[in-house]
Amino acid sequence: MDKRANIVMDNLIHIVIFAMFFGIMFWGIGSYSDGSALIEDIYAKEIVRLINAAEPGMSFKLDVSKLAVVANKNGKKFEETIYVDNVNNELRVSSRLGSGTIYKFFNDVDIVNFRVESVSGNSIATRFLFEVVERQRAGV
Amino acid sequence: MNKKGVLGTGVLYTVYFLMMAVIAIGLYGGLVGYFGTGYDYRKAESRALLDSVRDCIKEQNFDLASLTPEDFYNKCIIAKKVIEDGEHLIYVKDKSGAEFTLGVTDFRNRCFLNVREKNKDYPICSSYGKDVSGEDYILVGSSQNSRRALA
Repeated sequence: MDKRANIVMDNLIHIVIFAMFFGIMFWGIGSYSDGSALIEDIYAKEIVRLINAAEPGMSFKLDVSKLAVVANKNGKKFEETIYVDNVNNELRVSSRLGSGTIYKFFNDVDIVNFRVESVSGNSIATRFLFEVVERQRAGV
Repeated sequence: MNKKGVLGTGVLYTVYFLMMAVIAIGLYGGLVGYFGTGYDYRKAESRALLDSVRDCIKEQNFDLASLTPEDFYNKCIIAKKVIEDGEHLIYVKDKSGAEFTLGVTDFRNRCFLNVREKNKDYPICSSYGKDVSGEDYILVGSSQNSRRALA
């Protein structure tokens, strides 16, 4: 009886490890295979480049149509593709459901009123708008 | 205690993990071969950080001997949590030899290793001036890479 239980347990462990391994692997490969990982990476770093060089009072409008098109193909709403976490100085770009790319900016400013909007209502002409203001230090 | 087959099971586990490693390396190699290693932003980031630090030091005219990290972060509008995340270095030395360092001190060595170009875990650095006595010198480095996360 113990022997049988051990064999079942061994097999179960194997199957669980195997499933986890391939799950993580397909999650990673999936984002690369349609180019979304690369697109996210490029947009994240280029937007961070702008933020790092920006000064309080500036506002930006960026064309993010390529990102929106990829997001649209993956079933992700374009409004949810870019998010700025001012607390951790992080920018998150996501063109797939359930995953995204994060990059940090060293410029100690806050990004406010950020939004992704479409000019014509579809993803072909999509813009990312944001404003740069001084860090709101109250309570930090 | 029945220990029959324990050794065999152990050996099988080794083979099992070896197989997974071979599959992972093969897939990773295929992806890198087809899509490339991604967009390397370390150099651009270190240049941008160097510009910020250099402009700030000129503007504020700091006395490095008495400068505190908090003063530097507040006056230069640079995020402490990013510089001290283990992926950045700011090193400043003035004409009198006074030094000021923030971030990973060891980047002063790792910045000059040949492996830095290919291995993205190593920092790429930008500098201003020369590291000799009697001259101002700034060395700034970044090894930051984007990271994938659940969103």
